[in-house]
Amino acid sequence: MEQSPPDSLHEEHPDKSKPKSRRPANTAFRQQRLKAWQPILTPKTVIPLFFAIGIVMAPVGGALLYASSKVQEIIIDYSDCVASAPTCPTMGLVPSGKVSASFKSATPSGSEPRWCTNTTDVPYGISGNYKVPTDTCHLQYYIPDTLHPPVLLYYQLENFYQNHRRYVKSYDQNQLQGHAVSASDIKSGDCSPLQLGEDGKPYYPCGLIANSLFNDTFFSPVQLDTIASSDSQAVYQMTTDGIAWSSDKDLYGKTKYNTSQVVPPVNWRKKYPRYDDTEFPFPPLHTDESFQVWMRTAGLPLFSKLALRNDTAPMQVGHYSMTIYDDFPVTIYDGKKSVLISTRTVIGGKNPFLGIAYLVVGGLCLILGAVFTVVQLVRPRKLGDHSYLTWNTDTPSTATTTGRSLRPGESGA
Amino acid sequence: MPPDEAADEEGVRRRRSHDYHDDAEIGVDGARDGVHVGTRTLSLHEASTQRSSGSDITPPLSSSRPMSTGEAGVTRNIAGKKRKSDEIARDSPTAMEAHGSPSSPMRIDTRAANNPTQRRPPVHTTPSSPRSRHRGMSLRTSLFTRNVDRATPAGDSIIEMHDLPGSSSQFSDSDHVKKDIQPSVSVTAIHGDFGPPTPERTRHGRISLLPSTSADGSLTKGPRGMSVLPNYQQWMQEQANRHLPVRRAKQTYKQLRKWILRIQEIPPSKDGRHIPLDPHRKKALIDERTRRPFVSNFIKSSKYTLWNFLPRQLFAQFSKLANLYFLTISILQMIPGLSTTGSYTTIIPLMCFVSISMAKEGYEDFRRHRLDKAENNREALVLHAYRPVQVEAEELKDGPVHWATVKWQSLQVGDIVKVDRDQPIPADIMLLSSKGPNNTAYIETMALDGETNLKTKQPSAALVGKCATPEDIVGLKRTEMAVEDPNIDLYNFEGRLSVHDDTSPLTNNEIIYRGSILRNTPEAIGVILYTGDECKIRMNANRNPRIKAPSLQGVVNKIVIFMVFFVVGLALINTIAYQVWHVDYEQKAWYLTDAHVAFIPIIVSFIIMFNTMIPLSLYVSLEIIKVSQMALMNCDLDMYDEASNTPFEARTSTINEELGQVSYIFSDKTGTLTENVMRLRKLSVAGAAWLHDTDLKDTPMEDREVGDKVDGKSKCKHAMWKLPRKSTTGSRPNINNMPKSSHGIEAAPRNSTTSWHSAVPAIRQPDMSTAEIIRYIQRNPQTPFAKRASMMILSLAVCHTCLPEIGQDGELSYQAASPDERALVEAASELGYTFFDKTLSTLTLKTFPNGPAAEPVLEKYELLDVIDFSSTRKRMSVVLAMPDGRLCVVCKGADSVITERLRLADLARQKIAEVERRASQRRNLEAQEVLHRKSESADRRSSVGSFPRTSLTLRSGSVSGRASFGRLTPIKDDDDDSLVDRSAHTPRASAQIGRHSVAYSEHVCSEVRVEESVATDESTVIERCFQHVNDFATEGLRTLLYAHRYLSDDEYRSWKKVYQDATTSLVDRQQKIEAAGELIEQSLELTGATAIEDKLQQGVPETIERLRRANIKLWMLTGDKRETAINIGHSCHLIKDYSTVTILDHEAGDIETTLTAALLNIHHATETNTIAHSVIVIDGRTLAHLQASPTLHTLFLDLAILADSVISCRASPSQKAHLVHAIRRRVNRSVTLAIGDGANDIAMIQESHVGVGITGKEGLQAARCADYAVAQFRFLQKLLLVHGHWNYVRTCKYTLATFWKEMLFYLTQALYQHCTGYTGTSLYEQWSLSQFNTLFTSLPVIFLGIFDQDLRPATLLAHPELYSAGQRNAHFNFRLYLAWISMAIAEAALVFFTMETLWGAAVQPVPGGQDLYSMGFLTFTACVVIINTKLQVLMQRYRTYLAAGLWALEVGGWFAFNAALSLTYADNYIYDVKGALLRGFGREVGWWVTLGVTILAVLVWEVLVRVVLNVVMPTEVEVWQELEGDVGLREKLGVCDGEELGLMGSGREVEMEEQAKREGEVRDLLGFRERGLEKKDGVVEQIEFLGQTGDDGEDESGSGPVRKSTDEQEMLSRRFGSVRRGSLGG
Repeated sequence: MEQSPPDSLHEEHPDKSKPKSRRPANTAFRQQRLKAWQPILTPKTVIPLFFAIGIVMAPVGGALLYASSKVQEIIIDYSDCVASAPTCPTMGLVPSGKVSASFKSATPSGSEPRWCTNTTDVPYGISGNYKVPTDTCHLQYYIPDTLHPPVLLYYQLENFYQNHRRYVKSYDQNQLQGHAVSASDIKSGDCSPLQLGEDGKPYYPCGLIANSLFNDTFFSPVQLDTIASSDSQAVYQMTTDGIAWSSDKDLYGKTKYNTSQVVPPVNWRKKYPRYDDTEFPFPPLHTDESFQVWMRTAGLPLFSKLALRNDTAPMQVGHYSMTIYDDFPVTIYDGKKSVLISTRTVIGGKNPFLGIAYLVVGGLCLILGAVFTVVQLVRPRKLGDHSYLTWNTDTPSTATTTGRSLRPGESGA
Repeated sequence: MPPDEAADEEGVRRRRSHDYHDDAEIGVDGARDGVHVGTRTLSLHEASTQRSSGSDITPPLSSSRPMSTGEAGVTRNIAGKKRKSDEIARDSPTAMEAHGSPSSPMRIDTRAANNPTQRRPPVHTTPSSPRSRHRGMSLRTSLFTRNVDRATPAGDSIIEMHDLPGSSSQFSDSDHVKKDIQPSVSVTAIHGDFGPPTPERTRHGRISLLPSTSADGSLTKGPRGMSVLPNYQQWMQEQANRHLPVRRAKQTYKQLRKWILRIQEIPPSKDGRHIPLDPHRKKALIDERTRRPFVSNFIKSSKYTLWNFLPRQLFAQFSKLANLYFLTISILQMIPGLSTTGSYTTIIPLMCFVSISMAKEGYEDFRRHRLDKAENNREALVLHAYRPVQVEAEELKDGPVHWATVKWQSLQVGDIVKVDRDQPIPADIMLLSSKGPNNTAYIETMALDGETNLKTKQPSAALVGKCATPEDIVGLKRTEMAVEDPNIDLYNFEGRLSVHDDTSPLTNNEIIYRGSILRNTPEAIGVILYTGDECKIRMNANRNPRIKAPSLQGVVNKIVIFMVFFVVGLALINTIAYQVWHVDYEQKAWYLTDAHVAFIPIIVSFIIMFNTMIPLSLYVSLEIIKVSQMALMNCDLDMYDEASNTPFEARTSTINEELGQVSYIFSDKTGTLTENVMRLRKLSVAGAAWLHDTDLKDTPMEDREVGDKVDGKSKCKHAMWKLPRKSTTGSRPNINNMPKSSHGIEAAPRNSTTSWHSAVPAIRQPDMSTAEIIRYIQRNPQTPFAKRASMMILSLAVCHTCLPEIGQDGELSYQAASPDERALVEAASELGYTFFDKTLSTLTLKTFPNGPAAEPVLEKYELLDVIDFSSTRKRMSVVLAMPDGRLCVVCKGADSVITERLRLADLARQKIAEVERRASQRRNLEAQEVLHRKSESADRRSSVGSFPRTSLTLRSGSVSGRASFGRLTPIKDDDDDSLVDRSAHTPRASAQIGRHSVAYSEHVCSEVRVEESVATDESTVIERCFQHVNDFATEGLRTLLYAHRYLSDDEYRSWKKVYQDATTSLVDRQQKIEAAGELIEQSLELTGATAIEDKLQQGVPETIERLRRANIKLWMLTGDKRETAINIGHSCHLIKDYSTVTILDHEAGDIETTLTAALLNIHHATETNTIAHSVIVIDGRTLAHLQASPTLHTLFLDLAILADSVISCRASPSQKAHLVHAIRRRVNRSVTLAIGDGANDIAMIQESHVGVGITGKEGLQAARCADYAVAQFRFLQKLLLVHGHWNYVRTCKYTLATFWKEMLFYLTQALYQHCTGYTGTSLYEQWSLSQFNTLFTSLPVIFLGIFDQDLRPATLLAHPELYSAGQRNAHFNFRLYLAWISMAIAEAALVFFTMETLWGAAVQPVPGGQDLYSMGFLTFTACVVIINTKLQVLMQRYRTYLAAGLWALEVGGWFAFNAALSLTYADNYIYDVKGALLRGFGREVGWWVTLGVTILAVLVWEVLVRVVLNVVMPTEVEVWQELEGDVGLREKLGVCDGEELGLMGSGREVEMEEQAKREGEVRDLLGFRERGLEKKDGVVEQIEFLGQTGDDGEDESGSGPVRKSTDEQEMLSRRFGSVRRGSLGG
């Protein structure tokens, strides 16, 4: 781009070489005249677009709505079970606000979910001698339609902030993978604010996430109607196998800590008052899929996590009873916890909004398309206004005389 | 003469001379009535008026009034130096007293008494009260007066003083006068009518000059004229007071800086610098002012040294707002634990960015270093004569006198240097001797003042013959120069030279400034007076060129500041929300024990999180965009000049968008508007006008054919200027479209008639070629006509001062002082009188009496006397002895001067009056017509919006839907249309002339070639000659009258005696010579008139017109004479035929009054629409005078802003720069563009917002310093109207789009905070987050910024009115920004909440389905797709394959990137990336479906909003886009475009073909349509179209203007109508 050298060269040696033409290349790109697609967004041009979008979206919405309606689920909020349910064996009706069910068939009256509560001494430790009295919640509900596998049982937490800035990263990956991370490393690591317990021993597993592990225990539902026939069949067997990613197992390993090196997290003390080799060995995190699921933090304060599943047997129509050890406090912070049994379809769980959204957007497009069409037919918009193009006509534009009185100064001019 | 009487006479003289006197006089009264004590606005003028009305007051003291108003009375010499002299006076009053006081008044007196022509009264000479009297006196004056005292008065300056009545008061002040004047100053009576004028401010902040705008229009002559000034001063004072604290602070800062850096102001010297002429000197001279040696000749234009580069640059870089902001952010980010978005994501790119900028700076400075070095190391020859200075100095023996080679940087004041031919002058020198003829040195001062003609310099008479050889110089004893202190004034110089106690004055005539080049002179010797930075050229140079930043950046910066507040606000809101949430929830949540985040970390992390709403990429990408825009501009073929093989070149990329917002253009004249080629164009002899077209015939035939062909096809009048090289202005098109019959009769095509058309089409007449004259003379040598004609040509050949020079190739060329003279002599040569040889007393002409082929005859004329041209005489004469022995005086000069000296002067005057009357009638009619159109369009405008009439009022004009269309309506007062149509509209006026000339020439052409009868009728000859002169002048040609008289021997002898005495006189030689000349230049015979064309560059008038339509005001700033400037103003249509031209000249009268009256006139006229077009003409001295007073200066600027155009002549480089600066400051938000080609334009180019250099013949200095270099002035059209507009729109769109996308994206992040308890968790994974701005959304904005074309070039060129959008900041302003931001907010909400409800809250059957990553990825993807789609499809209009490719690349790239992340990501729980896309949510239909609905919803919303806006309030761009889409209209536009561009870019063969094909189609279409409507015409037209032949061009010239344009109108409107109908139907 430097311009002087060639110039001066020419002056000095005019005959040396013919001056190179500095003419810019005449290509469409450089001259900025590539062929371009230049429609303008006017009502006329967008009518087909709107109709097209509407026509595509509305059926999709319908399909989604249909798919969503195929999902059958029941949700029972049992947060208040211990506090407000009658003591077993008296069964009380679960308040209707805490239940939500969507099945193809209606639930017959009298089969509404019921609950009761009592206290059970739950044995922990290898020997089972360490018994802790635990609040237990019993739920009874009716499944009006056969649920085809996979039948999934979730727990749903509301108003629980797993995405809290410090909570979300409060864990130590190395420790979870099995490395014996030293106390000092833990202290400087990510686990804050739960790094070291009493005596300066690190928690295992450390951090807020692990500490707040959802520790309610769900038992497989038991079908009450067939109780007479055989016990083994009465239990609708659900398992924790496969509730976590298979790949997640790689993230956890058998720990290399000695039991004396670490202490269990504060919130685990009910089940693990301490670690020792005989009575309270380390929890097998690499096989504990519930733990692994929990460690996958949820993005929103309302979330549901898989607790149990059955991928083989259908869940038959009937009344079911379910026992839950209620250890996880939620009412303190105005949270809620629910149990959710659901089937799934191609779009996942129940999600009618998806279909509705499609229908709304598609519908709007159709309406707008129709409105524009009507407007176009009734009062077609002129393409620009030609009266502005008066640069070579001398007839004064008609626009000038539209009922405007002259200003005083103009009269003479 | 008693003083009072004299004063009376003075008053009367003024009254006569002054146009506005009446207003002014009454105005004075008004002013006095309104004046309060202390508002001392009484002028000198007022005082004299008072005296004339009988009061007994002697002239007021200039010093008793405020300095500002006192200026009118100051000598010319002083005016420029006013401020400085004030300082001097203040600083060293004693010195002034010592030097100035005793001498000056007395001396003046004596002179006045001695001089009989003096009209001035004897003045008071009270030697007391020196202080007050000499406050205004400069050193220059004192030096000057001393010179006068010691030497015989010579030179112009004295004459000037005589002519200047004002100067008398300067010296005649005395104390009692001061007392006398006081009462009148303190008049406080307030007249009810005129009231105490209070500044009434309009809403634009400008002061309203009129107390009330009355409708009757009596204001112009009302008494309020002068009462404005107090208003003004009051207002000025208020303004000043308002900024007082700021100024004080600035002053304090300056002083502090000086104190800290120990900068000492150099005090002025007492009596100038004294330089003894002494080649023996070995030691440097000492500067009296600093007590140190004089400044060395070393120049330094570089800014940095190796050491201070880094710190200064770092400081400079980080004092930029944006950089500082990012630095702060990156420091915050690097504090561990605060950032949730990575630690080095800001600092690394920032460092890269800053280092690139610094490297660029560094490289530029390095280049400057190199240039400096080259200049400093040039070599000069210095005279060394080493003789013992003192006897005891043994080592300094008698050395040989020799010329030593010395580097420029080592030159010192007092050195004697020799300069050879074509060498540059190394420093400011005083000429000692020259080897040129008559001791003359010719120099070229291109670099200094831009004038290309050579200037003559001669050594002082005292030195003539004394310095021819080095030995002579060495032998010269006791020679000393005393010269003024260094200053920037290029046009004046004061000093004295004493040789052996004989003192003579030094003026500009002896001084050669650095930067000049010696031409045509073998060698010159001079002594150095000023060196290095004290040279005039360096003092005129802009020492610290402003670093240019686009004004758009100012708005962007404001928005950035706004965004900073927004970001901080958002962070604060989130922080507060977190605190609330903490109390409400976090405290109770057992699982969040101790997880509380403290205030500082949380707010900082929020700031870091949201800081990217002001992305660093905004600046980085902008650089990329601008560089690309620059590259695209550089390769525009339309701005490539084939002739000089020069493409357009942008030298900076920072201010591309400024090109789209220009509102003022300051243009140099020579080399920019004109080619600086003079040609004799017309000749009026013996009552006939002839066109001299020998050079026009050179135009290759093909060229013309091409032109004609295009012409024929043209359906567009804008293609007016497209005949290349043919003329200054090109031709009028469309002749060929007309039915043949219409001009078949009138046209009498001859070979001799050519198609040169003057600048003013209506006056066009088919002239006969001068070749005909020759032929005629050869055939009938004895007819009266032939005699007259040959006398005329002979006069051309002999009456001049040129020298013939035969070059190496045998070509004859002429050396002339002015190009005009050369043009005349060359023309004479072309007409058969070749000036061949010149000896001291003979002129040899070569004539061809028997035809060009025959043997030439040599004729010898004895050149007896030459009475030279001078500015006062305005004529030159030669006395010749013809070969036949007759004596003849031949005189040429300005028409006014010659007229008076004609034998038939009375008759001539009468004829002139007639001609003038006719002309003014015509002008009036034209002006009225224009006004009519104007008011019409004003109607239109005001009914729909405000049109940019005065730039001040339009800025507020809002883009309010349809309303803004008024702007698009082309104003019809332009030449383009109106001048062409003028004949149709003002039939009486121009038709008369038209008929006159047409009839006449028809007569001449077709029947008798030459009217012999006329040639003998003296009165007809005179009448026609003056008619021709008038016509020529209107066409913008420079006219000269020639006259001659035969002398008898006796008469000559007696005169010769007088003349001899005069030339040898020692006293008043000049005057005596003039008087002698006067004697012989009497009762002359009119020979004829010539008209010289200062060739305009191609397409200049059209460009100016188009720029005017684009609401750009063009100012012409030139170093040339006023007459020349006005002439060019005419020919390039800067001044129109009907323009009101106001000439400001402080020597002509009270400038204050003129100024005020003009301001009121124009202001009033603008309001009432009575002035069609106003032009202000001002010269450098007046400007300097005005600049000295802030009030006057402001007044002048206001006037200049109101006027349609300003021409400034005799302006020095610094004045040019100053004007640009003043407008830049005064007019808010104005963007100024300066264009020039010479080194004298550099200061102006650097001062303006946009500097454009012409890469012309005169070197590349201007182009090197400029921001843009173009080859031709006309390329400005494409540069501004198309590229400027595009770049502006692109940059605006880019900026808006960037802010929009950042807002859209980061707002989703902000919205998410509500779901995370406002704790600051990021929704997005870090890697993708950091790449958002770089990989996934940068290209769409960048492409938008590089390639988008909102409108086609054709549309933009055809409708310059579209350009004003940029001036109004219509494409980027806060409102638009808010609109875009609102869209972003709405869309962000839509995106986020759709995601939250449809995906986030839904129960997902996969493990970890509701994790953060899938949610973030969803919104991220939606944002990427939306951003790419909106910017590349919805917002961009130039949707090419690039856009499609880019979209695919960006969206595909985003998924590819995530797929790669999915495979390679480390295990991480927060963002569950690993495998997520490929095996996790990526397999969920729900996720994709959600994504789909999110994107579609947003896009539908976007489309809907745009469609609704388009319907409800379409922007003008949208309307034009629609119009472009219309095939018929597009073709209409496209035709113009193709032709213009085709010729601009020269030879786009393929294009042309394509276009021809397209046109053919359209033509068929049109023809088809028209056939149905108006069969006959349509068919004829068709035939016309198809039957193109080369000689159509000939027809063109023969057709009558009246008929033609009406036909053309009909045709156009008809065809236009059919297009309209057609397009509406289809």
